[in-house]
Amino acid sequence: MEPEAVCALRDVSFTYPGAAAPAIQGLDLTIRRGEWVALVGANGSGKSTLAKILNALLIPTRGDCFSCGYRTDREEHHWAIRSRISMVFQNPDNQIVASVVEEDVAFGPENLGVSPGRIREIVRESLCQVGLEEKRRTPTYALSGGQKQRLAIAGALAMRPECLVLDEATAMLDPQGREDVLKILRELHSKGMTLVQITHRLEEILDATRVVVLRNGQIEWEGELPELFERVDRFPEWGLEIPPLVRLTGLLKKRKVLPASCLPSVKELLEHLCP
Amino acid sequence: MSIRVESLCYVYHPGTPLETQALSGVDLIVERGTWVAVVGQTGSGKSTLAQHLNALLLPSSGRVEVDEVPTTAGALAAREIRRKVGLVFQYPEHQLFAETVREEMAFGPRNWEFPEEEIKNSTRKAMDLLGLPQELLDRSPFELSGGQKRRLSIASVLVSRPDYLVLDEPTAGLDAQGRKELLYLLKRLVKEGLGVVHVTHDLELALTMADRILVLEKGKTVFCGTPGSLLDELLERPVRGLCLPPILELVSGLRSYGYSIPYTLDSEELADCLEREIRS
Repeated sequence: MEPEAVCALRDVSFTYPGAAAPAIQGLDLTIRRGEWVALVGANGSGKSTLAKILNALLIPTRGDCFSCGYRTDREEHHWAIRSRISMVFQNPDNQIVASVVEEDVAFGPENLGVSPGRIREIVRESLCQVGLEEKRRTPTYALSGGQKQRLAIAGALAMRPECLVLDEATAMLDPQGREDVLKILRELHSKGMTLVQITHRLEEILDATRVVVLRNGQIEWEGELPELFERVDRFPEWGLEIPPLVRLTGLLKKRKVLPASCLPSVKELLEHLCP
Repeated sequence: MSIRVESLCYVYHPGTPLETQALSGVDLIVERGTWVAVVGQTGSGKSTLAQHLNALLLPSSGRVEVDEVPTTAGALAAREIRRKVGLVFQYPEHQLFAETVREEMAFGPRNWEFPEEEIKNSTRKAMDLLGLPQELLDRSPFELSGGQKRRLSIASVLVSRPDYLVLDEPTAGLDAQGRKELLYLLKRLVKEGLGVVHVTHDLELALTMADRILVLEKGKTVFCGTPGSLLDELLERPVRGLCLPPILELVSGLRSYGYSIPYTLDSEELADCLEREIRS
């Protein structure tokens, strides 16, 4: 495993018990420290399975996965792996365990046996990172959907992970809630956090340093954002939606109104079109 | 034949410190064979409204009628209303509960006392409609993929042959293809006479699919009309409580910079307008 790798998969396959075909097939992938990897693809392409392999929730049926330097197939490593690679899922209600915000964030470090004084510090820092410090004594049921998802992220951060894996963490949020979560991700990434982001919304991956397209459990394509958006014609076969703004950006590039490097974000388009 | 909502007000926990006015004076008509989108931010009252449409919640004041029967007309009426108005929740896993897909599908129709033979037939039909293979019948709903769970939650409501379908963010978690298929299916069912109430954060989807759009903000109606008239309204002033999809946000930014371009989701049209403006 290269020193900078947070996760390294070597010829990994995974077949669910009783399933005819593997969900992941002969996959090689290295996720390096500080990367923001967007994982996209159709339903059933293997995105969530791959995410669960990264933090040892699923063990490859063939090949090896190393996470944070540990082999995921050894049970004695699972605790270490899962405290270094935290997951955030689509529905925060399934992830929130306590009835008060700060207790929920404290749950993870308490289980790790962290001292009470240190836990207080971690809780405060984690809530600050997601902008919920003022809600620390609020009952969790009283939070909005977006706030709950931010709490779930705080809970993940309280484990002091090296890497955050987000499996459609914004799918159920309203536009404001989504933007709040993305802002947190940008902030975390700028401070060195490794991010693996699974989403169906291409508008949300515009900060990713690398994009991996999965298809039928294999890597169909990988590369950087500008290259991805040069391949819009392949999106339908990859199961990717082409949002109107992406389409418009493509059209304006073809007509030489926009430079080829322009990403399909409102901010970049305004910068180019309103100099 | 329609659902009529008149001056609907709803207060959660009345007379307690937690009292919250969730809806104030909302009017809405959902005819069979039409698609109505309800948009608004979290906490705008969308889900509260949805739950009134099949008598899960009863108005604090005002009224909700389904095919001219008020939802407050007693338990028997409410039972019939719940068959007529199928409700698909936001999270499929909140709705799925049975041990097998077969049981999940049969639960509703058995409740409405459909004959077993008919249940079998309508199960097959509803699963076909949603593209769920029959092989799944003996699987646990919880072993299905996210997209399959979503489609099962819709199939298990359609199997009772409702006249209206209320869906809360039905496309969340579906990929481009799954989303397209579901929207196409709903459009087809609407053509065949189903009334659809589509609760969503996604204004873009509402603008492309719906016949009418209701925008709620803090429990009040801020707009109700056709997608075209909503876009026209945006030319005049911003609509409160409305988060614009990126392409309309861009239009808004460009317009305030001085571009004279329309509010539209049509990227070809926008590209033409922009090119013209820039070259001139």
